[in-house]
Amino acid sequence: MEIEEKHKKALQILNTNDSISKYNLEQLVETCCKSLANQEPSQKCKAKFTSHGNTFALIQLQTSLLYILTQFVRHSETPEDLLSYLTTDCSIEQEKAKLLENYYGLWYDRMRLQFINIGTHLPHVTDVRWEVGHLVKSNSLDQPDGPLFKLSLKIEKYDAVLEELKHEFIEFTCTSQELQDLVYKLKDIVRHCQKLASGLSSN
Amino acid sequence: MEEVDKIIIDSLRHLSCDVERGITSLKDFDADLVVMAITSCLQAINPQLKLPRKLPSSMSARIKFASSLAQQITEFGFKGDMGYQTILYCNEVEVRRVLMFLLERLPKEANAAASAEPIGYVPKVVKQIEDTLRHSLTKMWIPSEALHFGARPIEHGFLVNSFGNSVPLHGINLIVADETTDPETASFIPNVIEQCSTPRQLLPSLLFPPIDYSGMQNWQQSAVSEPLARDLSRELLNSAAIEKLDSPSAAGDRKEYINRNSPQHKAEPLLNTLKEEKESLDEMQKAVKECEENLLKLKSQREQEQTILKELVAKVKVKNKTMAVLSNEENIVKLENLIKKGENRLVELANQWDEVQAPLLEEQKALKSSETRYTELQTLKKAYKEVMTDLKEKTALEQKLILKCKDLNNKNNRAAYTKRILEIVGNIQKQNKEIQKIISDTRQVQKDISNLTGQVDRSFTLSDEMIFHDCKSDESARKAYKYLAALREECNGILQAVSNIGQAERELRNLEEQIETEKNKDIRDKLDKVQRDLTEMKNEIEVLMR
Repeated sequence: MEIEEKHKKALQILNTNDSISKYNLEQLVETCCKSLANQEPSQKCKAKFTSHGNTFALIQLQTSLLYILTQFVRHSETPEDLLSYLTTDCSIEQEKAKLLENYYGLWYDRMRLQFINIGTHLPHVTDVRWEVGHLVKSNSLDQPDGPLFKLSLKIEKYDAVLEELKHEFIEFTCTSQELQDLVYKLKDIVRHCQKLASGLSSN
Repeated sequence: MEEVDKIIIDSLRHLSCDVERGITSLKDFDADLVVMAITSCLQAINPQLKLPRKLPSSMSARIKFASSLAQQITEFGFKGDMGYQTILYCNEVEVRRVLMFLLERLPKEANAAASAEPIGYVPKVVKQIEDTLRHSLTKMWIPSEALHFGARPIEHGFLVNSFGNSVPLHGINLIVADETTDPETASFIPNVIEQCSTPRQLLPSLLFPPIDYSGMQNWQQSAVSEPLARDLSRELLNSAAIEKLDSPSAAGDRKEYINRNSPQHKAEPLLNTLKEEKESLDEMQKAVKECEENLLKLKSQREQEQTILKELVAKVKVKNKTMAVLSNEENIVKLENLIKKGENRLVELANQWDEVQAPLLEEQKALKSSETRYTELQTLKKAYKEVMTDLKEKTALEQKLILKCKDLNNKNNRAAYTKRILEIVGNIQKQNKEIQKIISDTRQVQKDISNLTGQVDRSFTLSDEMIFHDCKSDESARKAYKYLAALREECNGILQAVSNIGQAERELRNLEEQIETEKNKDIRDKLDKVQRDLTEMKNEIEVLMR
């Protein structure tokens, strides 16, 4: 993991600038964590941020904190690692470093979840709905037929235009034979997974 | 001690402590490695402990961290001398004692688990895949609507149900003001969060900013240095002319001119009539088309009816002919005869068929029997093939297992360890025997000494009695008695001196041993190190005071 020197330097504001009180720092770190966890920072927080005297220094500090937190979450570093980095490499005061460590520990999982949710994926099947139908008589043949299964797979995918999660249905019909074939194939996949889970390394 | 060191290093490697391959004894351990070994042992003993695995760079922080480690070790019941100096200025003997103590304290199950921990990148990845598969199969299903961002936390990570919330990796170039930026410009740059149009754009932008080509100055240079092929002056003139034409005054003149000379107002009635004519023409064309379609339909209907009529006429003709034939009686008789002949012919043919069929049936039976043999042969061949494939698979499996067995032998030096342990036990037994021999020798010597002292005492008392008996009558005997007493005292003194010498020698040996142990501790080096650290700390404090 490499963190640019300019971000380390930006953190020095914490040591030199007395105007950044503990409360202000808390607000700032919370804003950073919330932004990385895709949560709206509170209005109170924003107001505090804009009304502060040295806005430029705060913006620099916030940017550096965002970069550092991103890199630490990306490399799955523990809060203890962050603490040792802040105290030894950046020589931040113990109290302020502890505060950062606490927030990092609190928001780690939520930030990590956002990292998981980056990327382009194929739609995921999340649910199945089904109906069974029976053909009593058709136009061409005076003969009953069926059962006929009507399945619809509920899929979830990201809509890039609306920028939100979208549900869609893939609908298809099949006979009982085809349904059995499908079920057997799905079971086969599960069995294969179970076999792998029981001893992939031993094979 | 080499064996002990090997065992310690091996166990440390099993505890996911990165001991390099080249290190074979505890002599080569530096302070960082000692800290790593101790922390990994402490974490294995108490998994709730969370300790950094490296020494911090600042000296005061180092001492603080080392003393906290030392305190934890003493809390576990370590009885030897333990302080920050044992960790920072590592002495081989002390480190060995501490590590042996910690390794003995390791829980058995954890040790087993640690020994089962795979080594190397690929086995670790395989283990992770196994774990996630197991989790995904064992964890209860939860509908994705009930999950936050399609995933739920499990022991080491997340179990993902759906990636429906995944944002494609589209970042933006974030503008970050730094020391080089002009302060006036910097005041206009919004903060990084506000630069993103959506909140979810922030992470990709922080992680992977898109490539910025603005810094490619060599492109600009090449564009400048490239000679201009076109005639710029002519282009400029042309563009000026076009601008003139397109100017608002020129456009107004042109419109007036067109309005004056256009025959539009004259042609309007003519155009109207033309339109009407066109519409009537279209209607008529439509009517013609409809009529043509009707005609085609009627034609096809007529053709169909004609074919039906032809078929009916042919049928009627056939029926008339048959009726004509059947009306004549001779014809009927002829037909009956023909039928009879046909029947007879049929019987003959059946007989002939039987004659032909009998040998063929026999032949078929024979062939069938041969066929069964053939099928048997085929099944045998199949069975042979199956057995052969089975054999091949099993030989392959055998080879695999042999390789695995070799690997296992290589990996787990269990046999080697037991061999070594047995050798060590044998050595100890030998040494024990020798010690027993020496003890019996010393006992013998002690016995001899006590015998001799007894003899001396007895001979003295005997001679004492004898001389004392003669003392009353003989003057010389009196003198002899005095001499004897003096001799006895001298002898006792000599014996005492000998035993004192022995004691002094023993003390000397003890002292020599103590000197050696003190020498091993390298106190002078340690003191030098402490002095250096002290000066460093003083410097740090001075820096902090400033």
